[in-house]
Amino acid sequence: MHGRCISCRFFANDPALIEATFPGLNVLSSAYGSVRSDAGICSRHEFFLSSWQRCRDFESGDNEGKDALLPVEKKLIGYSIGFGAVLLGILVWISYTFFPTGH
Amino acid sequence: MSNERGTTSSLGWKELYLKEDWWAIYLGIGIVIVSLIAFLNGSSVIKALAINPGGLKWSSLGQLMDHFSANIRWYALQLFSWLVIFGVSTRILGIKTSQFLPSFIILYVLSIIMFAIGGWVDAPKYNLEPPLVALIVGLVIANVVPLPKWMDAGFRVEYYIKTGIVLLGATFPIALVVSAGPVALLQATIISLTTCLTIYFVATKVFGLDKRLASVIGVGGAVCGVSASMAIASSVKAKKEDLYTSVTLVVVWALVMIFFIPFASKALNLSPGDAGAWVGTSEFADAAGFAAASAYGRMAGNENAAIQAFTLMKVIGRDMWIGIWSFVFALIACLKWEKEECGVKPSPMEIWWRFPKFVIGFFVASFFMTTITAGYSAADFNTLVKPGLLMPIVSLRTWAFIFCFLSIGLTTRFKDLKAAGWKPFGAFTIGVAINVVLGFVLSVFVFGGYWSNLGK
Repeated sequence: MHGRCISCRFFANDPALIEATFPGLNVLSSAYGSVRSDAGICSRHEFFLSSWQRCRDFESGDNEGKDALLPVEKKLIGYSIGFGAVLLGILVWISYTFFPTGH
Repeated sequence: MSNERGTTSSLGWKELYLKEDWWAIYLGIGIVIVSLIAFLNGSSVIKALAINPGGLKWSSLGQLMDHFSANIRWYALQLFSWLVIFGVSTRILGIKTSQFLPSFIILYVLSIIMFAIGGWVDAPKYNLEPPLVALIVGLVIANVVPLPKWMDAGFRVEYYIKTGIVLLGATFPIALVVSAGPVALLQATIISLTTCLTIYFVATKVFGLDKRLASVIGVGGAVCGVSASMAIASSVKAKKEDLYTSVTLVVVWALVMIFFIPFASKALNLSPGDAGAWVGTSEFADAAGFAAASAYGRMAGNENAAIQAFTLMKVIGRDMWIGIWSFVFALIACLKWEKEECGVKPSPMEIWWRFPKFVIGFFVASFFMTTITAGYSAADFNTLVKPGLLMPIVSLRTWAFIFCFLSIGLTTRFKDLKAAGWKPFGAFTIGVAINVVLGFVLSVFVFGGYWSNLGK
């Protein structure tokens, strides 16, 4: 049994790359949406295909199993939550300052 | 968050923050909750933040300028809020903030101009409906002014329409979803099967096209345009050219339908509900359909009815088919078309993976707000809840839709679209013709009594 496309070195599914490859795709759709799932492009066969597919030309790209969050992702999520909390505070302040009659 | 090879490992739980569908739910539900908290505390901050010049009915530029100078701080705060919520979320999705921010600011300024045009007292006389004007202005800019490609970072058509749809859910009574759902699903099933099979058989039997290409354009025409084409292409392992072809066919026909259905409906004097259902049955993408339904609803004087019918037909009825078609065609491709090559059968989970998740946000928002507002008397609902809670949400939804309509135009560069070939064009066009006629018959005659009662 060959490995899955998701682990193959010929497979790429970065949404920005997909939108750049298919001009017009972002006009009425998006590579960042759920319907694409994690489908991508096979540069060996010039296919657009699902990541669970397999083929005899598989060559490992060592991508499978790296599901844990990257440090940069953790940092980004942390910043976003903190930023959101600060903005909520600003909103409360605006509400009390500019609309005191409502309280 | 992909590696240097451009590959993101299996999504799993990462989908919760790497897919815009989920972000549309977070933003939409978040806005609804913040609006509700402000409303319950007697604060009108969200009402002030949801400002737009669309309802001014101005007759002189002086009136318009007076409005902007009196409310400049609210517009500034509103721009800042949009920049933050869309900027942070798109950054997490992997879109460069340095590209998103300048392009979104331009989009915001253009949106204000679109609202202002819609707020002109004589706008209805000249059919200057903001959705159509936004689309035309966007198309002209994109095809006359050489906008750099990086600006597409801020023109996120799908993200804005999904956020708008979740916000729409907050003003959509859940009882209507429950009562209208079966009719919408029945009509969607008839149209989805007929259109898909027509295109597929014409493409393969009449024009002798490849089965994969036929399935990609067939489902693209039957369900949800480019999104459905993308889902099917990946399920059947289509060639890249097949997806190029489908993108071109869908974009061109969707743009034609945005103008054709509203003006045909006007010529036929259809009720907003019937026309909304027709758009929902025969338009190819959510974004394009909302533009058409909203435009005709405004022409006919009942935007709400047209949008409600469209939403039931398209978002609840047809969009549900994406995952099912993906799974069915993946099975056919694996078991029939490439028996020797296929090493693994598709999982039924494909239906869930491909499910347009933002629809969940629509249902949640609808259920949540219906429950919250159920405790108010009819008098309180009309005097307190509607102006204090629902109208600001409607205004913010309209902003999201205008961002979307402008973005459709701004991202459509005709010279970038690949040639589709006359055979795929012929097969798709025959499917479109059957879809439009059948959609009209179903929406106006078969289920017409039902759709025309919406919004009354």
